[in-house]
Amino acid sequence: MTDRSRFTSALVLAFAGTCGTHALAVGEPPGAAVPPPVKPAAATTDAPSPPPSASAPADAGPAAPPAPARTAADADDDETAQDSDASPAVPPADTSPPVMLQAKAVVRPAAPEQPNPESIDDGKMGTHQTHWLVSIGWRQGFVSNSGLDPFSENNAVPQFSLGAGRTLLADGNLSLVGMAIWDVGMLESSARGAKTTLAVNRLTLGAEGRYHFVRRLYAFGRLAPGALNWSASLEDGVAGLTQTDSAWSFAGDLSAGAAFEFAGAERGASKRPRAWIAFDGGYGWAGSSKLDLKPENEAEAPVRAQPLALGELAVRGPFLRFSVSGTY
Amino acid sequence: MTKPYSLLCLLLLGCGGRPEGWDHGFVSSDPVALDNAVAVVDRPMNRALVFTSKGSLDLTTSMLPVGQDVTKVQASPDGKRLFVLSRGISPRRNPGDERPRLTLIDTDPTPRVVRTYEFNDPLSGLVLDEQNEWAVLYVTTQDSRPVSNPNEIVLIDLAHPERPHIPMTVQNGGAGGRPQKFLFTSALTLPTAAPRRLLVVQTQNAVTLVDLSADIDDATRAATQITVPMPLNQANQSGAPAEVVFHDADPDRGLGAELAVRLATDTNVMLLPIVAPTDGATRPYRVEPNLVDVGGLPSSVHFVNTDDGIRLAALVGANAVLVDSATSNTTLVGLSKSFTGITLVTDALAGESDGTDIALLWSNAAPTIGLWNLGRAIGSALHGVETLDIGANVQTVLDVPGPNFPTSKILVGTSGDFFVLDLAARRSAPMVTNGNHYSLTFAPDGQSRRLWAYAPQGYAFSSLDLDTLNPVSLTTQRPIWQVFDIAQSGGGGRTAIALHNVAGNLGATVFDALAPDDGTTRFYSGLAYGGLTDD
Repeated sequence: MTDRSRFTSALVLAFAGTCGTHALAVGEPPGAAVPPPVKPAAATTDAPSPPPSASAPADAGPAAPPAPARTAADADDDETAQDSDASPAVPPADTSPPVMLQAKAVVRPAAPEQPNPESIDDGKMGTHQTHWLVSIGWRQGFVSNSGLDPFSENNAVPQFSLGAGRTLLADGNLSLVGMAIWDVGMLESSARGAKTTLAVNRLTLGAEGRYHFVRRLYAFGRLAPGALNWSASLEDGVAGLTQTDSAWSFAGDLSAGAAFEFAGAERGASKRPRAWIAFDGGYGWAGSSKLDLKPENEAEAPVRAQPLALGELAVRGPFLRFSVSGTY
Repeated sequence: MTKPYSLLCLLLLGCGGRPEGWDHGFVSSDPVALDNAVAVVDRPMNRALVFTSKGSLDLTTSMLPVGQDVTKVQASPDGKRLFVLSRGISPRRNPGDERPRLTLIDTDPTPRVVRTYEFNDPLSGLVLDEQNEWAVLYVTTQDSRPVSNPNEIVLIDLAHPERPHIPMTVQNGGAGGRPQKFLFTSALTLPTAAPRRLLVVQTQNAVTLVDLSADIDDATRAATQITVPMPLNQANQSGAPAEVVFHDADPDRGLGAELAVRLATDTNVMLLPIVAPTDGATRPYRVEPNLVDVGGLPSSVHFVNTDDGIRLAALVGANAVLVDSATSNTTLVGLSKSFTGITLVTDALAGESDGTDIALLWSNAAPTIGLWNLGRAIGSALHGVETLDIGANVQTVLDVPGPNFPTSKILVGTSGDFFVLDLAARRSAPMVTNGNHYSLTFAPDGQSRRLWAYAPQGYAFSSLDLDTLNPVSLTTQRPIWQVFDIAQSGGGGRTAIALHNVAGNLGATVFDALAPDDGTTRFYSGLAYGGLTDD
């Protein structure tokens, strides 16, 4: 096993370890039947070994090694063993102590190392291209709209980005993916000394067209219409309360980027999860809405308080996004 | 760092920015009332917030640029125009750096900047002419200059806005004084020249007269100044002018125009009759100073028209001394009280006057006011003085603006109470307050027929109907900064605005000024947020 494949396998195992029961199946070759429960090692011996006894004499020889963990490669060994069981020879009666028999089994020449099937490249695109995906990332928007000024000192709108999707079509190096993306973020600032906050949620459903340069690297373009919701607040010193406003508006993203699979089996047919890193950038558009702040608690507000009009807010502008995806 | 990488970093970290106004709290000097607007200078943003009202309970904000580092904000006496004086950027480092500036803002029909004047050096003194024809700017001790000419003034001809400003140096009498006070006279009749207005400049030890004729050039204006040094007083100290008064010529009695100066620490008053110039003189007039001892330190002087002609009335203790400038004779009039203030109310009581003056006398040391009919000042045993006990010492007397209440005066007591005095009825109506010292304000044009009384930082205030003398108690839900009564820009309605300046934010509670009612107010907040960003 090469260093790279060890690293890859380690990452896969680490990732799989977070995925619960999926980790138990990641080692199976695609399409292979799940082997029956492994028989005890004693099945390969002519006589059953007695179970290890805590009362075994200390001078009875080296303790029996623990049974090795079963691996996929062992499954092949099992088949070999079963094959050998198909033409059994009548063994002579063995009167030697069990310990001696065990020692004999240990010194038997080891079977040649079997290659990991996952490391055998089948040359197929497979799940490099066709998969379910989930992603988490960071989106940095740049919004020059003046309505943002009370809430941001530098026009930046940082957001967490969560996404999920599925490859819908695949043809050669091209594929089409459907995605749902939720970008959520909160800004805190001050407006002439008054504390302000702005929460921005952007929900989009996207169609992503991909072109794989190689199986582990593809470029994509994404069109994602959806809706944007913002919720603003300002701690109004003269009114003595918090003024708030929120609105929904139509939104849409148009972006392009590239993704690289940094962890995952070489075999396209592998069902093991894969991990990707992606960058994309583009323009996120959203409709504008009036920013008329009103008292959060009407009971505390001066009577007939007029809306605190701060113009219009349109959370739109270019953005960059960095994300990490897991596919399966 | 390569350029693309830099751009990427900028985008990741956020780039661009917002107008710096969002980063500065709201800071302002006192608001200023105009007829149909209230102006508040937003100092960090170098702008004036002008609040107008288009209709009932409406409040509209206009943002107008003014110079940087504002030093003075003042409304014109007629309430039509706002003057904002600023120092600009100092020291200037670039050709484009803003110079000291005077910005003129009109509010009718809509707020707008109508004229700016720029100067080389900062000036922070501003005096406006009651007749709205002239403005004077002058150097104060707040103006930091490497080399300063303290006697430099700048005249602005407001009646001819196309003309540039007029810088000139005031003669100070040679004893190191600098301008302290300014007085614009009405048009004075001169013996041998056309009537003209004069600017009287008081320095520490002299009085200088500047010809305000519009048809003379700047060099002539500077050259024809007349400076009158003040005399030494009885303690052999240099005299200082405390008050200057004037009257125009009375051709029927053969009396020419005249000025008089009350001296700060002198029992003499200085009379300055304007006489014909000597032959060959370049000036169109001259003055002949004359000192008259009034027997004590006068607290106030005023030219009055008596039954024996024009006299200078000087209040000296419990007496008034009438000075005949033609002969320097004096007539002592016992007033029974030590009145400290005098103001003419002849126009208000025109029906009672036979051409002579009627003066209102008040005192901050006695709970009595007096009405002095100067038509009987000399020929009557009682000298025409009537007194009215009002029960409180009077701190100041306010005129009611506008033509609606010509016989009414507001007497502000030293206790905080105030009185509505009806001169015609010789009746005073006390308005007892709850112990707070209230600020009193009117509509600048007097059209609402109301007086507003409020205690700064308080929540309660009153609107007094001057017809019925019925006070209406009102409250706001936030502490009051100041209260204003302005004309609506649409229709004949009026709007009362109680401004709130709390925690760096500006708000307002708006009332119907003609029928103020707590139940029909509107509250506006964030008034200093508007216009910070241009899209």
